[in-house]
Amino acid sequence: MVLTEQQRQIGKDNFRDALEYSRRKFLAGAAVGLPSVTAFYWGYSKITGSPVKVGLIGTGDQGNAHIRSANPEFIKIVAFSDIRPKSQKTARVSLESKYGADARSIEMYEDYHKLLDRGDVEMVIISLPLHLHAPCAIEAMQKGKHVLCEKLMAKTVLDCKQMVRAARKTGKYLAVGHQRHYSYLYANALEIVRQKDVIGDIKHIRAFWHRNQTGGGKPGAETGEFDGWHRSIAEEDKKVDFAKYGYKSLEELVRWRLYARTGGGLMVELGSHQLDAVGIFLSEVLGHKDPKAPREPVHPLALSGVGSTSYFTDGREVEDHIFLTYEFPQNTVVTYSSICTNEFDQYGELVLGTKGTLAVLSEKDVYVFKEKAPKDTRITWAEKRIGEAVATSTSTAQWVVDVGIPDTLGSRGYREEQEHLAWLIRNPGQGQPRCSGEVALGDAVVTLASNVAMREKRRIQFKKEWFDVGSDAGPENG
Amino acid sequence: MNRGTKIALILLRIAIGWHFLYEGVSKWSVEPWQRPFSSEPYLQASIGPFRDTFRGLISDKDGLARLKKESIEAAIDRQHEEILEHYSGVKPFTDAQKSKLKATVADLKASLAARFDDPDFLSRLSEQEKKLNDAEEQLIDASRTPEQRAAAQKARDEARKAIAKAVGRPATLWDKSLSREDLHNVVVQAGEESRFRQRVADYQLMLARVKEDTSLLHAPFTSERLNSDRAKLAKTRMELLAIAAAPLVELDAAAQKLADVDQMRAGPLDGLPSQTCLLDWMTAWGLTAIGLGLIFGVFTRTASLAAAAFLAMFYLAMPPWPGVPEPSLSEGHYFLVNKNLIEMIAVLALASLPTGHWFGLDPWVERHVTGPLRRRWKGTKAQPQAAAAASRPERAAGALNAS
Repeated sequence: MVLTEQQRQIGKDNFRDALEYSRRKFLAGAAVGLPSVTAFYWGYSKITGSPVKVGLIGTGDQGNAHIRSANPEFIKIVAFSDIRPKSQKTARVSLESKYGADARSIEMYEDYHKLLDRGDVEMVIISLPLHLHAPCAIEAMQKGKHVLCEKLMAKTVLDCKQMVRAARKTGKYLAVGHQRHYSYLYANALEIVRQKDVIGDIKHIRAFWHRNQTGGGKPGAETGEFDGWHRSIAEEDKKVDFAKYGYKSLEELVRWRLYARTGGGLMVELGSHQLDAVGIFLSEVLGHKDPKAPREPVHPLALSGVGSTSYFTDGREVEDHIFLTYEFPQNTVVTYSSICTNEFDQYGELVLGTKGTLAVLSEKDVYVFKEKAPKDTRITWAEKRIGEAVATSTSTAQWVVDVGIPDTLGSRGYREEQEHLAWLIRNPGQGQPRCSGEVALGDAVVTLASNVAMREKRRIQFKKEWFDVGSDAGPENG
Repeated sequence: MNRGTKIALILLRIAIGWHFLYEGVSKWSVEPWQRPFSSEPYLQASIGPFRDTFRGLISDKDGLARLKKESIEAAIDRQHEEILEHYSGVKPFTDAQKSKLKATVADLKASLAARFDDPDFLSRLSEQEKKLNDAEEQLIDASRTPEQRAAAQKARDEARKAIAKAVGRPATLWDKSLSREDLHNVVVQAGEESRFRQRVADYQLMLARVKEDTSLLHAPFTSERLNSDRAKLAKTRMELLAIAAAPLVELDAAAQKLADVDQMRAGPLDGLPSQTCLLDWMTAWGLTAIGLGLIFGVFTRTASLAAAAFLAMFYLAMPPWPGVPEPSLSEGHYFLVNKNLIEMIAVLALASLPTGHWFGLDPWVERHVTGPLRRRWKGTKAQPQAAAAASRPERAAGALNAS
């Protein structure tokens, strides 16, 4: 979405004012002591005892992001696993820059089963191709490890449910890496959604992730040359024994996102994050009738969609354009699109209310715009409200601005999701990860049902039992 | 001397000791991603009458020795050997890896020779760039057949490789995502570098001029000019040395590319050796040892004198004397006396007092380490006096405790 410099400034000011107002209200009623930032947002604090020993399984892009985000005070990576020499080498470099010379004693396993056999590993981070999430996570929990699994939770809804069942049976934590659950940006945006007098009634949310993977329309781009998912195969990876690990070809291993057996396409890779965010927003709006009661997750009632592989000719088995419409309770409609041939809109979520618009863009900016204000969309009510009698001192207000808001820019949430799980391992009985298996199951049902709807070209009505861990039913098997 | 005075003096000693200890520790306990400590910038920044003495402690202080083509080549060879040794600690390079590394060394040297000595270097480089541009033009021409496009792609890749080799970056400049503009900048930069010899000659001329100028340091404007020339020299030196060190960085990157994942466990190669290694080592560990000595009261007097010597050096490296410009980084205003001098006088006062015996391990050290050593040394020289010497440390310690 393209905004002028002035619009951006106004949108930011509006957001900041509204947030400050809600914080003042919160702090006026809250305890006197100021919590730490992570305690304030996510309910955990500094870890006591030694850092949790972690095995990292899969060191591609996401695995490396996990290394870069790791906080050595909370987690100590003691082993990692990958079958591609290129990823192994990248991991070595990242680990060295994270842990220094200590990193040289970190053991590398080509076969992740061997890593899981190590007794000292307490927690594993799984960032493997999608089809391996369930088998690896279940085996890890059976071998006594807590699991942080990358999103999407698993390839099928039944797989997801079996993961949750394994977690319940073994008593291990299962967290799934939908990092928006740990994003300061989204947490702050959620506070705005909560304020009825800023956004008003919400009947429509539009989410999108538009990328241009054609090199700007260069001839020959149909072969995938400019698509980040169509990776070139590194020289050193050409000797990998892919068949030994169940891959049909080297291409399927390196470009697993493009194949039906190993990946799930745009909906799984991009859409699931954004539908997750939409779910968080709508649960806030529609989920609790009683404002004091904890909110219940809200799921769509039905969906329909269109998907096509209309540009690329590289033999990919996933769509390059997808368009979906979700029908939520109270006639609230969410649309989602992800395309590969134009990036004018870039990516974000627009919450379109009767009084205002909340725009979260590129996971780093958040704006609020007022409705029915043709000349200046600045929200003047916020300034007025701040003048109301609120029992907070100036210094507290300072903290709100200094500690609360700048954090919207700092972290995408990888670090916090790792830290929280590590903290829970050291402080058992203090709750569950914010994106536990049960929560992630909901995201997986919506995502995987979207793929079914597009591929079978039909409107799908969600069934209650799809979201029920006890039932084997899912959108794939009716 | 009353007890309060003694306590105050011991606190002074411990405080100075802590200052030294912390300075020392912070110099050797750097995090892996930080640059190791080097005294070079400090010595380079020295001002005042002893400037040349302090800068003289740096080997090759003007960098002239390192800026010769022969010494760059020698440094490449040294790096080559070091790489082989570095990885052999974990898993030696195979013959295939060795020969590839050797080829890179040859490429780097060839590029060096071409850039420094070949008058046609620039025209040949721009020829390659033209080839690259032609290929790129063909690639965005939609009327080309797939075969033509494949040929153009091949031509583009070859031109890119040739440019990377020519500019001396065969390992790091092979990136699909580099745009034509990026590559053009690389070519422009290589053009700058090809004037290396001329720039070194200019640098030498300026060095000579600055040297002459120091004899004319009377008028304020000459000292101003001198300071600005020195800053310019320092900047030029950094730039030229960076060009001279670039092939080593490149070779390091090439080795890391060649290494397999097991070999990578050797970690990165150590950075280039500092021009003041011995001095750095002495500074870091000297400060630490003095700090420990002063805190725990071990060899207190020796530690105090050594501390005074260190502080004297720090004082003289940038003395707050009239006519000496103020150092660029200073947290206060000083004339004749600065904190280094005060700390030095304090530590000299401590050296004159037996504070290690008031509070410290000196009595113990004397009884168990220095005493027996002295006895043995004297015993071999003069047997009969051994008995008399043996009783001395206790007496000495007792006497000091009583004072």
